Amino acid sequence: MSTTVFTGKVVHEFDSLVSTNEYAQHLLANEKVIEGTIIRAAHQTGGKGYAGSTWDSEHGQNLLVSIILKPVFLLPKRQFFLNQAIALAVAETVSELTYSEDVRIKWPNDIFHNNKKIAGILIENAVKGNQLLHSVAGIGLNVNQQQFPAHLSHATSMRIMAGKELDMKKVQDVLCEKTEYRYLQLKSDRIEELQKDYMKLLYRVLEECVYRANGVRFNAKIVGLTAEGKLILQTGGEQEVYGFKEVEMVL
Amino acid sequence: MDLKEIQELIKLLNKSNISEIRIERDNFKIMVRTQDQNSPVQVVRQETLMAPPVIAAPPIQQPPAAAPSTEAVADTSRLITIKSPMIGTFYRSTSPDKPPLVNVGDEIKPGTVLCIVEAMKLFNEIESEYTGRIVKILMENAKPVEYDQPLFLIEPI
Repeated sequence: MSTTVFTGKVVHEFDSLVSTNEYAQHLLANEKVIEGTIIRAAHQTGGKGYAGSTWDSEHGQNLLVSIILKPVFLLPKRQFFLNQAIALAVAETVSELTYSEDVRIKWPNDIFHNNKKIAGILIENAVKGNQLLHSVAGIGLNVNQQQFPAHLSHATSMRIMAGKELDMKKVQDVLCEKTEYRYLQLKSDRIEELQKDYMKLLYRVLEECVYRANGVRFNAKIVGLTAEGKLILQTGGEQEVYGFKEVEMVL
Repeated sequence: MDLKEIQELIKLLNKSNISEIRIERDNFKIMVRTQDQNSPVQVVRQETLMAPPVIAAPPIQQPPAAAPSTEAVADTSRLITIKSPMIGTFYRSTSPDKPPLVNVGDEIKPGTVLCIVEAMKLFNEIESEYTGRIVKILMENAKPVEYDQPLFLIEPI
């Protein structure tokens, strides 16, 4: 049983949806939605990754969920903190239920274990003037899927990590708890804790590795993030700031 | 349009890589153009109801000598600028295969989604706070935007 105050108290469950984020947007456009409402589907026909990359998922094997939040207290220009809160919650869910310490956040918000992706996050906000009205945090978490198609050789699941099948409802409950904890941390302006914990889990932080920007490969290490969430890479004594899509980590 | 707004327009132009901005209203036209990277911005104002069709104004440092007619002020000072609430990338549609969310001339109301600003993989639907008509779209699709950068000019209705 989930021990949250509001997250996951209202659940809309479906066998199949185009995407849980799309259904969440539809709900928000048409009715009053209680904060913390979640939409879950056993299968998505049009699950979105970034820029049209699709999320392949076996029916009923993975947790495909969107969490509706109303971070009206957060200035739109500070929204990267919300991304950090959600990424931490997903990483901590995986960690706790697989008893693994080695779960990392690949900037800005993919969840990795041993160089393999285990979860993806897609956050969609509605902004009016200088206020965030609502956010839909779409999460695709590989839970019980054991086989991945060849083009997803960089994928893994909680079952592969834990060596046993996981109870989907339990994963959902823990995800809701972790999300609520991190979200309330953000809401009470405990940003420093959030930042510190995010940096602790950041994949390859302070590790020299290969990056690619503008078609050029170079060695660098992540030394920090800007307030907007841009990556600060250091090469030798030089520091350079990169936005998402401006730089790629070569795995 | 008053002096302050014209100065704002010039500042905007100087900061951007746009070389020319034209705004046309029923009885008022303004065109601001940069000649090249080193020369000052050139301002051409046109008020079609008034006798001299073109007034060339001096560079940015000095405000234009001719004060605008009260009529023109009454008309264009009503325009509302919608600015970007964050740093990110400006998109006119929700995905590359979809039509633009709004076009010049479209009527909008509070809640109408105007554009998407993507910031570090967070997608923001920017909604209108106003009822009005889109007069000008100040940004090109898929271009980076700064915090507070003007995105749309809206004429309230």
